[in-house]
Amino acid sequence: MARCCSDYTRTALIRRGVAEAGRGLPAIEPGMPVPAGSGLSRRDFVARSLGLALAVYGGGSLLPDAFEEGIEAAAAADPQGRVLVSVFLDGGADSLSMLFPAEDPVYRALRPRLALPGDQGTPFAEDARLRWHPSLGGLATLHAEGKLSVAPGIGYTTPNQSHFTSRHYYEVGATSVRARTGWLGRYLDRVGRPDNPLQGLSLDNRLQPALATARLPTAAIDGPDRYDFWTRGVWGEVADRMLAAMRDLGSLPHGGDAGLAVAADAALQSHRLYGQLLPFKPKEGSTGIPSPVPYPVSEDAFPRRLAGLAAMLAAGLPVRVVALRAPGMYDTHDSQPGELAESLQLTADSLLAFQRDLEARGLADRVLVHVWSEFGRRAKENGSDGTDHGAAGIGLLLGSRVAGRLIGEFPGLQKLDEQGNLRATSDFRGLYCALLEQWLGADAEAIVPGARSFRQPQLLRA
Amino acid sequence: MAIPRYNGRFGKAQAERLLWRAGFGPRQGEAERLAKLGLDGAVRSLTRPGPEKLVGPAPKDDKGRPLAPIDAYGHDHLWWLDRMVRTSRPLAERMTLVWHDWFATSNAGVGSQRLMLQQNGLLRRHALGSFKELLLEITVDPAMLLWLSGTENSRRSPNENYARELMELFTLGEGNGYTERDVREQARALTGWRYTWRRGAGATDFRFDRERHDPGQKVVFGRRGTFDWRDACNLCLQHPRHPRFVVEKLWSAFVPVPPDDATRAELERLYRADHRVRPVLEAVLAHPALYTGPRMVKPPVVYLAGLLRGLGRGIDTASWVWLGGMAGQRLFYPPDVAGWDDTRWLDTATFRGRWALANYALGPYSLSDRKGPTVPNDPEAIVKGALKVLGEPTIRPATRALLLRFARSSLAGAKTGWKAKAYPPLVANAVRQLLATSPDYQTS
Amino acid sequence: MRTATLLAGLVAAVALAGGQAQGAAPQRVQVTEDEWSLVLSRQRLRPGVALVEVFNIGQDAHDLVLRRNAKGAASVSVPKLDHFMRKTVRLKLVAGSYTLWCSLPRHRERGMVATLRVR
Repeated sequence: MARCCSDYTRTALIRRGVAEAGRGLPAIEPGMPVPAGSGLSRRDFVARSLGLALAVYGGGSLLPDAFEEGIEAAAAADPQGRVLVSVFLDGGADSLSMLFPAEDPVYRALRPRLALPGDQGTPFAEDARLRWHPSLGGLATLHAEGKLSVAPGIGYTTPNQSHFTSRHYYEVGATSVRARTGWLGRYLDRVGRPDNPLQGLSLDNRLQPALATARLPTAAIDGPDRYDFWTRGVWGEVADRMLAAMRDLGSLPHGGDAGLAVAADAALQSHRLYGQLLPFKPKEGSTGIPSPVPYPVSEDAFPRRLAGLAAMLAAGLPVRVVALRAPGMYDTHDSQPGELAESLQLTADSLLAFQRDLEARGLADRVLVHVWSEFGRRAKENGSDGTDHGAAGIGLLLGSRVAGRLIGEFPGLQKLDEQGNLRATSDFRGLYCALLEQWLGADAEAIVPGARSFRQPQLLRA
Repeated sequence: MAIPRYNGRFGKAQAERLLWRAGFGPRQGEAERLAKLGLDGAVRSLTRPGPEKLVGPAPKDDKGRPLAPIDAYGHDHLWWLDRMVRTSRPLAERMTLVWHDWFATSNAGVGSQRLMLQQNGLLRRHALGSFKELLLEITVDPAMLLWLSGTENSRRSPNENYARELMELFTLGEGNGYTERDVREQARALTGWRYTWRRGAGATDFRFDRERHDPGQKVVFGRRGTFDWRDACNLCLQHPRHPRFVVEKLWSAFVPVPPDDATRAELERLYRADHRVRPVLEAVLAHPALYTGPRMVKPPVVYLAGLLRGLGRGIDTASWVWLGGMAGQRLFYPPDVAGWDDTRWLDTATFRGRWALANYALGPYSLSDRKGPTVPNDPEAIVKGALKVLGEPTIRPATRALLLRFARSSLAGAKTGWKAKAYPPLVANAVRQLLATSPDYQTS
Repeated sequence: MRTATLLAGLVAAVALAGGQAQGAAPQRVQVTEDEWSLVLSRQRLRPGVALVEVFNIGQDAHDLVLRRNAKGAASVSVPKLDHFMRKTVRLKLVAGSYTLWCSLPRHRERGMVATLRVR
């Protein structure tokens, strides 16, 4: 009973903590607008009703012209600028299934029902004990090509097992509940421009907290192909003229009236964005963004968003850091085998397609993808074909420039922590510092609290 | 010294602005009727309304069923939106929204539509009344106690959550006349509230429990005493910086530029007397700054409620729930305890959300070339018709000219052939949509 | 004929309960799931049709089973919902006491169980 109550308010507190994670951050979840009883999944909802939206967060009173010019200037100033893409495995991915110690008798003892067969999946070349999950063939391929570095036991000391809290730590780059800006947001605040919202891009219908800045603008687009202004009973050339008139209404002189100016700016910016994203709209009769390689076909937005991102980079848009969610739910308390395999398959296949897309477009040297989850899962299975929240988990770095080497060793099952969780062999903040300094060329100390105290792995190939 | 009063013309345009700022926009013909009362009469009709009458069709969901605000997701939002659309006491309803934003409580942390609606009733009861009574009641309101850890705050383990926001957000302003020590001491004064957890029913029977209260001496704002939760509130209400905080924040809900010093001082004097809100509102709503100053962006829920009032449409779909989120305002779910950021309603995502709101609002009135009334192939008539459907909003001549130009050029190539019949309704639909999303209509 | 009588009775009952006659509106109840509790927006319903909305506001996924406390009574289940998902089922409830619970392993023991009375 008492437990009930304390859990009740604990959740409330955590939510509040996360809701404060930055100015402009949305509440943890205002509830998703699925029509009652329709049985739609959240995924369907996102695809069908919110569609894609770009929000410019921050940026003060700058006029859209300034953004327009800023975007152009940023693109011209650094056409070969490096890009970091952050991909979140939501729910706490089971690292012990993604790379599993096939022959370890302790693994089979801890996971009598969930242990994967020892002859499945590709062997992991860097550590003979491990094999890739059979659904992660895409990652195995990239690893064999030297384009994937794995941190098989990433975490932090005194791990927190709340999804929201631990995720928040990873997003703000510190083990602090009250931090209000994301680690990538702080990076942008230091090196970004006041006039280029595309520098920090949430490929989602809302701001990804890792990108929350204190000062500079960032943008959120669910995907570049979904920003439309559909209007009932208006089509064809009249619809085109209507959008032009929307712009013209935004261009009327507002005589210095600040309220009118804000509303006019919104119309103008929206129209400009619509125009910028028009080239990414699927052609009549086609379903996806034109790209040189095939992406997995899925109802989930993930492959579409990655394809859109590659197209945007190819078009020279000055995108610097990007954040998005991987498909699937990794919180596998039960029915783990099927759910996990499905989520991993689509994630890995999409990431492989993205890498191939970048290679085909000659962009691969500019982009690095970081994959993370808020924690790993308990080493011992839980009796309902699932696993509970754990501590250390897995981190991945993908790209043509990565060293392709382990970041910290596989922690093994012989020495678990007092709760039966994997121990961390690398700290996520050390990885962040390395990404900031070695990939983005920024001063980590100004961005990650206590940066000096974390060991930085060598991330890039020599 | 008296507070300046607006003494210019009080016609339809001024009444329209007043109805948008102090309510949810005019119904058809309402602005003209209000203008006839003159400024004083108009303001008093808002600040001293009669008993509430709900005017218009009863709200329902998409299947025509009545709303279940306590028992169905999203119906809380619809229920309140309906109140905004149908009320005969628009300022009381608007102030309820102001207090919701002020004492921002989110159901994301409360987890009970019943408790949220109970709090909503409290806010409405005090909408035009005493800030003091409101503060005392909201401090021990169940939803607030859950939201800001009031029931987690006991003599054994004090929780500073409410104490901090009480001063920072509700009564004084961040860092304005209090110290960290005051936060800790106020937290001690506020100890003692608890609830009983009943399986199946959740948190119930919220009450003060002497055993959990810290009865010891506290020092708050330099004053010493065995303060309790009432004292904690009263100490804030008596704080010399409190009146200024309240009147500035109230003012900012109605006028986008800060008051001049003399006006502010007078408003403080009005408020300080007995913490009554009505006299302050009456002064603000008659102030020249409201009528001669710049326009204000309408909050998304005000924008939608006003669209529906202008159209004469009731609540008949649950789409307003997710569309509200898309436009940046889901009632009962403010982004955090600081409420919505009223200076940042519009960006490229929320603009698109408003476009969608307007599109859904106008949907049932959409014209077709196959059925319904014929639309004349006449740009002037089309623009006039659009203004009529939306309740004759006042727009700038330049905006009207632009809409006319759009209609004219769109119809230019449609004099003969199939377009001659097909295009006029298309153009009429487009003009309505453009009008409803124009900078003129997004602001007041 | 019997259905019609039953419905008429239901209408009257709802009208009485809500204090306003608004056609044949089904009763509704919301079941909020969290770790580790089930909270019902009301504990009592009238016999007849009811819309039961299951809303998972917890961190983990949960399902819901509803069964009348009587020998041989069938149970109704709502499949697992991820966090912040919800689902509405339409049920015809006869008088009696019902137990609702999350059937995921150990969730019921931890507190995710509640009683609904229909009479």
